[in-house]
Amino acid sequence: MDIFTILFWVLAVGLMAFSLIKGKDKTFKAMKRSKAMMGSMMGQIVAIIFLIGLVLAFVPTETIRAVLGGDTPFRSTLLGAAIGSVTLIPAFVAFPLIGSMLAAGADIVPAVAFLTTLTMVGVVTFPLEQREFGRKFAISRNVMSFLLAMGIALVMGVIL
Amino acid sequence: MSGSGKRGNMNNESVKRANGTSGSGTSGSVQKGPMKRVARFVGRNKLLVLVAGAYLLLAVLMPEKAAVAFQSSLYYLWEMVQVLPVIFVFTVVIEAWIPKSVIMKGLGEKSGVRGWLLSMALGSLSAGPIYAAFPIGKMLMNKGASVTNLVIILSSWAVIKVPMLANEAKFLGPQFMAVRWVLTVFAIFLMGWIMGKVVRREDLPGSVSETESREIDGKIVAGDTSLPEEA
Repeated sequence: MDIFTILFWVLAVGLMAFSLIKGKDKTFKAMKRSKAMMGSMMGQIVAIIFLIGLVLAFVPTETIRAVLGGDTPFRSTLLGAAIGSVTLIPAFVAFPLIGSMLAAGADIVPAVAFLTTLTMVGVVTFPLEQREFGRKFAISRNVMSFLLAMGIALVMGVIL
Repeated sequence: MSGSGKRGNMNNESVKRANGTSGSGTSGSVQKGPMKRVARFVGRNKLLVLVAGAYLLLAVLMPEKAAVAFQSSLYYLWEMVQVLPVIFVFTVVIEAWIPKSVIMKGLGEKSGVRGWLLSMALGSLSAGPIYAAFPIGKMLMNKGASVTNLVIILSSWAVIKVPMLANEAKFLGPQFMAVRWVLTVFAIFLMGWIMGKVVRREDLPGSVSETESREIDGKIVAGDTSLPEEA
């Protein structure tokens, strides 16, 4: 566990204690509701987790490296953004990967497109997002995030 | 796939469940045939069943790939175990102690730029991947947060994290990190603003009119998380 996760646990334990002291009944009532809400998401979340494993098994880092380092920048950018959208790679894996690629002279635009969609666009989390916030919300958010990620990548290509 | 239809089914299921558990004397769901229960589980967890099927198929056709996929999933499973209990506590505390009026004032339609900044701060002080933001977002949505602020919270939750920024600066340089951060924050505000115009609160499932907390046989309907208007 990193320091931030530990901090959150400390905070959570503190809040729980505070809540129980302030009002047991109200806390238990709220727990029941939260349990119902999160319980209805659990099946989806576990499915998402194992889906991520599947995606990563078929899109290993070598593939990402090959795609982002492609000869045609436009195609690499589009593909990079697409791969970022379907994968959920932890930051501590993605940053060193991109760092080593940029150091080796790879184009910055596809790399940024990939990094940004990685966190902002979630194809595997889409079904859950749609169920909880509605189809229109989920589609708009993901599509706009994808387009904005491309925009961020292009601007960074110009600036840096 | 239709969101509203699915939602309807789910609510019916929850009502059934609530009724089943409340009447201890009635037969409830206990006597349902195993086939029916399996069918209901499958209906509710289509994605899970689909993924399990994919793993089974893969285990037969390409066992090594299946092992690799399973192995890397364990990392994410551990991440989830670390984060979800914390998220649960947060949702409980919001539900129990933060009145709807406070959320509406701070994050509602009329919260303005202050609401944006507050949403960004909330999302940045976050734990875990984006799906961990869904329960919190849902709770805040039910308590009156605006679409714009919801988008800002979910997006900044995914993108802006102090440990992540530190990591980015380390591997890609402080300048790279800073420029990308500024552009991303700008993009998130822009997106929140546009989505506030495009998506209405009525487009969100279970918003305002539907979320008034209902009680059936003294049991709270599952999935309904809004606070009853208490005196």
